[in-house]
Amino acid sequence: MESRVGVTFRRGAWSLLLLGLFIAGQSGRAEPLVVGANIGNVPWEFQARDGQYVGFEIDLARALAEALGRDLELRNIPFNGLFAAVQSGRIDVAASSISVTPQRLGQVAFTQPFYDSDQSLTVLKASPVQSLEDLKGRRVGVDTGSTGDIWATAAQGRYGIGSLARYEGLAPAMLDLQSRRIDAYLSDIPSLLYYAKDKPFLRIAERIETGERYALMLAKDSAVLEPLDAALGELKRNGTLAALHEKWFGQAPAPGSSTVTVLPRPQAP
Amino acid sequence: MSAVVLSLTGARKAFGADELFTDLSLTLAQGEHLCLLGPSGAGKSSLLRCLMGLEALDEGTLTLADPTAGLGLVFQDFRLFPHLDALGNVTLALRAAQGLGAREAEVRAWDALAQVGLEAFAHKKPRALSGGQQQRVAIARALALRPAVLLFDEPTSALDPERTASLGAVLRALTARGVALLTVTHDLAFAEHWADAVALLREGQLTTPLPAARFFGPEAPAGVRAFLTPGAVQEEPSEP
Amino acid sequence: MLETFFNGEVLLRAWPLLWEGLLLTLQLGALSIVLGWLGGLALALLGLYGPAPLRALVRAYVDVFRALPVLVLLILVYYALPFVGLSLSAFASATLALAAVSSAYTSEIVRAGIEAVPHGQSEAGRVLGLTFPQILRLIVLPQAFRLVIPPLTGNSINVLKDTALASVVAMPDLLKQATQAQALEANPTPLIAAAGLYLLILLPLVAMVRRLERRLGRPS
Repeated sequence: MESRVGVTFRRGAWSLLLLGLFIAGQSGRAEPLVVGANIGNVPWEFQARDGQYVGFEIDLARALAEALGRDLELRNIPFNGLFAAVQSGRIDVAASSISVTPQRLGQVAFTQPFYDSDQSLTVLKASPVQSLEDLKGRRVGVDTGSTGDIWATAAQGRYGIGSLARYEGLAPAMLDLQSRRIDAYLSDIPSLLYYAKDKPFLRIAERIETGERYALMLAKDSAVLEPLDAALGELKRNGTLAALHEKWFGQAPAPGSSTVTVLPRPQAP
Repeated sequence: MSAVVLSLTGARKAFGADELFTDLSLTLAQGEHLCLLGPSGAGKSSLLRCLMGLEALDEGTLTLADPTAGLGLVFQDFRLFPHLDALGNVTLALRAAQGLGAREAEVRAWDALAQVGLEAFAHKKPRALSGGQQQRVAIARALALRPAVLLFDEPTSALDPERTASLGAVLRALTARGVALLTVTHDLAFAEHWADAVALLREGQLTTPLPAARFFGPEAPAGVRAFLTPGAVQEEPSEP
Repeated sequence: MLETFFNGEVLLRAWPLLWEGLLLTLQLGALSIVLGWLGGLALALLGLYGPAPLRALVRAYVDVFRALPVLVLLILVYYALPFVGLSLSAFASATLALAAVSSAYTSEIVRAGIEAVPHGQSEAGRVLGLTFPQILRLIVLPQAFRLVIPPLTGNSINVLKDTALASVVAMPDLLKQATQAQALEANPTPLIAAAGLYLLILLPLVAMVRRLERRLGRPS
């Protein structure tokens, strides 16, 4: 008797579970697009006071997911963890103002670039450092594995930089800049312009022209690569990207910049 | 009568309200072997500990004829240092406490080990030695410091009759060299055979030491006979 | 798969970085371990034989530093101390945090070791005329030492592993260098290699603890 009741109940529970899965599957339309980002990278992706993830690339990811007809799932991953995250399939796309470099193209794939950037040298207002030439013997902070890291490592001898300190993002580096453990911080210029605009104790000492461009990063064999790149091209054509630029930087993108120009996908050398 | 090397007068020891002994006096002469008997808990071991300075007397005066030649104690459980070999056990205090150089300490240690017949075991760790051998290392360790008096707490408790006899021979050799011995034991046969004088500690009082033959003989005082006679009114000696 | 996770070319290029990181990790680990031993020994002795207020202080220290996660302590030392005017380098901060925690654990291990030496051993020393420091140095500590080698080695393994936490304060230790190399190369091979290096250092130590425990655990 009891066992029959058990069986009936179990069968009932199974069908309920299946029904639940079915409903969940239906409402999600398809698998969500999982986008990893180094939250805290202003103004690209960061946490608003209410805890929501916001930023240029968050808006971009939302628009792209919409265009692909998929839900968006955001994951907070430190910058240097993004590479392994796309390669292992933990996330579909990495968005974190990632510059396209030949080295990276050997290991991962990129969509067409959507932003033209440079590096910058940030110091405390009172710092004697006026330019790269003043870095002799000084300690300079960079983000681990970033293009700033790559540039500074290559230029360390040329400018006689004393030593490099590697951080997992802007916030800890800024703490060390204020406690004078480092003399300068070398990182992407848009982030620093945005971060420093309401912080009078900071000064951007120099713009370092590297001509780098940001793109979205995916695994080499990703099935999403083609449709995502096509959708990005469409967002450039229909003015969505220009609007995002207006929204986050308070000005229109330069004509002919990668933000408004449809480009081919960068290929591995 | 040989010279007195140790005298204790008016000694009192109590643990809280529990008085072990009071107004206790005893003297030891050079080369004398005095054996203390008494029921368990009578304070025999505490008396040794007080003499040794491990515990403080509540009252009383201890006088040594030669303050530079002190007392040595051989514990019931020997307490050898397990991390050192026999030689190391003997040299440790010679070097640390008496400040001898390595060479001099070794000469003295070998001499002490020879006196207890253990030269062959000098480089053995305690755990590789039998109980009797461990006891001899402990004796050598105390002896090497050249004490005027050696105290023994229950020296035969871990020994069979044969080993007891050879311990007795070692002790007799010591007294022949002028060392005074004070042993505390339950072993009546050992006391009768090997001690020069025997005394009884019970109910806080120490009887006058008597030659062994008299102590165990029919003319012994009534208190002693009561203690020695099994089935008598008082408690029997019992092994701990 | 093999290309991605065990890329020989990537490993070759990343090797100098990893090597530097390995050396720094070993330096940090060795210094923290030795300081932890010395500090732990001092704490254990103070906690056992010091005056009462000092003993209470030692107990408080040991409890606090055993309760605090190393990472939290490290971040406090590195980022909070500068606000009270004490700005330590990443290496000094990491050494301080690791040694502080390790000394708390070491003092407990050493205390247990000392307490495991029978009291009769100290009495035997007193009877032979040794002073208290001599008894400690010549009789108690040598015996306690044998007892504490396995747990002390185990604790040292933990300290070595915790050196990886130093990467959060911008110290180029093995993990940090591997992270940087994998980001520069956009390939996880350096991380796999770092895992291999950690194993290479730690596995022999783990095996040693096991052997010591088996040998010393056997009744003598």
